[in-house]
Amino acid sequence: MVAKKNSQNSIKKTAKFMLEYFKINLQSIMEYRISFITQASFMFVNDIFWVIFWAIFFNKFPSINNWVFTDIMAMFVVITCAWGLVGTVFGNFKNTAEIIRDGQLDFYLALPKEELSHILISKLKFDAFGDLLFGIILAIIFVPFAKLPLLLVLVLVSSIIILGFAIILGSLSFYMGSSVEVANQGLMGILTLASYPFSVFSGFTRIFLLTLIPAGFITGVPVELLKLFDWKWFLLMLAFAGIVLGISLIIFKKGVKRYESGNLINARI
Amino acid sequence: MKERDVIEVNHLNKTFKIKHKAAGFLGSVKSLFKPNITEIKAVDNISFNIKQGEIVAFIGPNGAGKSTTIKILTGILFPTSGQVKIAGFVPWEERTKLSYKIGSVFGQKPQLWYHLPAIDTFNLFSKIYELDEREYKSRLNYLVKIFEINDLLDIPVRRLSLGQRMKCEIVASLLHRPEILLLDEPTIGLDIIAKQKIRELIRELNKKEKVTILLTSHDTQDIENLCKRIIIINHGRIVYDGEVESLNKEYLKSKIISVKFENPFKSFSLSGVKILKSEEYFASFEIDLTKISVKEFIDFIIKKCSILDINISGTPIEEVITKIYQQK
Amino acid sequence: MKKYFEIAKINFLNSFAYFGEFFFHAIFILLILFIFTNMWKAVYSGKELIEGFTLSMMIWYLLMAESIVTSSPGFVKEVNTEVQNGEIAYKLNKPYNYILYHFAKSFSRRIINFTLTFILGAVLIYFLIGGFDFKIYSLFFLVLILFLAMTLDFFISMSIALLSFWLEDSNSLRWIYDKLLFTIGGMLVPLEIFPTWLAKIAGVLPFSFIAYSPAKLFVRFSFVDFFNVFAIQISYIIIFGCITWIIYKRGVRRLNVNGG
Repeated sequence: MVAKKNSQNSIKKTAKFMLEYFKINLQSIMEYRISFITQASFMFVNDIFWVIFWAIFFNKFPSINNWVFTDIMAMFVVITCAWGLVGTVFGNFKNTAEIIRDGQLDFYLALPKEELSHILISKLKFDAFGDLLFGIILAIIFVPFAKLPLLLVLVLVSSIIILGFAIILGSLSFYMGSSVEVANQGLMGILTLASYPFSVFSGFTRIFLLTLIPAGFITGVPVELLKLFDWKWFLLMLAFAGIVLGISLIIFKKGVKRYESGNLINARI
Repeated sequence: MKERDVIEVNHLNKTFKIKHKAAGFLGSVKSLFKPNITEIKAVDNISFNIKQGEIVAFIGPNGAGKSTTIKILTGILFPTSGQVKIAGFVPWEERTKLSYKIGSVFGQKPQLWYHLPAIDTFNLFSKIYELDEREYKSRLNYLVKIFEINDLLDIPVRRLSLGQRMKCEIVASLLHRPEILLLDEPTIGLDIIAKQKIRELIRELNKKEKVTILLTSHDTQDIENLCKRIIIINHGRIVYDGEVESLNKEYLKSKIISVKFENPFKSFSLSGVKILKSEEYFASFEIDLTKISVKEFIDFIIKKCSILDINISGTPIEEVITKIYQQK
Repeated sequence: MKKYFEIAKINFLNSFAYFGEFFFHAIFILLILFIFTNMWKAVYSGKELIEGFTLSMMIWYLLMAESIVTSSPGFVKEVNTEVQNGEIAYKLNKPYNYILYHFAKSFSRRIINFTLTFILGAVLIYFLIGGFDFKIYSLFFLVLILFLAMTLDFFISMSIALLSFWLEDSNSLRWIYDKLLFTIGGMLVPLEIFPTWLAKIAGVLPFSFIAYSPAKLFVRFSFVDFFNVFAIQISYIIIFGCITWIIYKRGVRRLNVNGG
């Protein structure tokens, strides 16, 4: 009974804490409204350029290995929504490597909240709002109404994979001294791979994209599921997301124990 | 009544592995496959205890192991070996519990949101520390009053002066009534008046709330004004742990005495006295206290010359500390 | 003239210090090449020619266009910062022309970026697809066209950068410019793939003379095309050279009035 009450209490307190962060983040949007609007709208414009490119491409070649223009648009919906969602909720997801390398983790470790979630939510990624908004608009235009619930689920699972992948790359900083470059390139790479039709890849590349660099699970599988739902692949995707997130948490938590703070000196000879 | 120990450190050690990397791209590749690793002892068998309500200066040159020690004490770093108990907790095992008991101010790492008013950060901290709403309000009112920051609360932090900012930083770290306060360079970059004000507040706080303070600073004025006890660490080891005053006695082996004369000064020689500077009506001497006392010297000089003014100064504590740093 | 050569030389040597940075940049280019190779393979599947391009020409085209566009060093940001924090005032007092200084500096780094990217990409493509029928005699003319393309790119970028005197963040404009190069500049796909009306518009705008034209001459050289491209590139360079100069003069005057 007491335990139940305690856990209820702590959920309430965590919610309060998240709410306060949300408030302070909103205030920082107000404070930086110009750069918020610029960054968000630039991302929006960026996405428009890509739609134009694909429109040109599919105008010339109506189908690439069974993917048509609407499939590409669905792919775009999934990647912009998932990437945008991760960015709006966990604005620091691309910066964990840097935070660990520069010893900024000290700040979070000295406070009584769970450090990983605290790091992730403590910053807003302005351009992510542009991505998310674009994705939502594109979804309304190109995804049939009946498929929107499924889309929502797929976007959520996709976000988990992105988040887990980002945490893994960032946490490598605990082990390598700095994984900033690896994390930047890795995230850039997976974003790029997830922004092209999965159907063009075959054989070894396909396996690679469904395991080590899971760009296939981020957009490829969701698009196929939207085309033709298949329980086997859906469950596989869910399981994969769970595994990636689990591994990422283990790597991070083990890493904290090895954390060397800002004192690590990389002596050059 | 004997105060209890709030900080207990026993035989603490921390070794870092350092990867040596040759310069350039090839060097990076090489170190990837065959890393050249050496170990250094950042903290080497350190032990000390601190009682509740003490203000202790914890100082040492850069790279002495000072901040490593503090990070272990707060649970940020895991030690290689040794025992630590802070407010009854083992920091690296019960970091979260401990964090409710510790407040920290880092002069060079502000925790306030730069573009937002301080009150927003305070509110956020109240949620991070899960403070009761009413309790938090009264605590905030109290701190706002003694720190005199009422007018500053609604101004974005970036527009506050450094001194005002530091006051707000300290308030932010005190909201949750910590038992232990870590102050790292709390007066860095401030002007003299602001420095004095901050010191005054720290002293008052220590008196009123019995909060234990561990202070690191490069400003010896901070140390002399605030601390009774000083722990000096160098090369990962404690090289001095005692009262600030006895530090003076132990290391102060000489005094500087400057004298203004009525008549032109004529040079003399006396065992234990070195003439540092001599002009027509003025001279300054360094006297070696192991050979001659101040009284003996003054008796001597009064007999010899007619004196207008005399000024006696000790070696500044800064030099004492420098001397200690230089010892191997 | 000699001092600009020296500026170029020292930056050329200095660039080797950024080898790690370049390495990661190169990985990204290779990734794009890899993706597009897969995509084009799927599109071609069985077809010999699309709009006069064979599969391998299409990939080599992409490599050339991509190497040109992505080799541009980020001096817009640098200029933007220099203007914003007033550092430019010190640079104006130096005994060299500010614009030529940046030209020399960025060009030297660009040549390295371009060469290394191209070589790495060429190795990858050679293994993925194989070579194509390259006309050795066109090499000299190509180098000339490449030089002009990069010069044109420099002046457009520079005029954007110098808008920092009025705009807080000209870097975002340069970002749009990049996107234009990617799309209607023909970096990702040649203009032949575009719908006719769009290809016509893109074909007269300056962007295609930076990416599309040099890359097309690389895979399918003809003297008629060469002279055409050459003449238009020169005209655009003169136009944007003048624009750059005017913006620069006005900006500096504004700086003197406002005292930075």
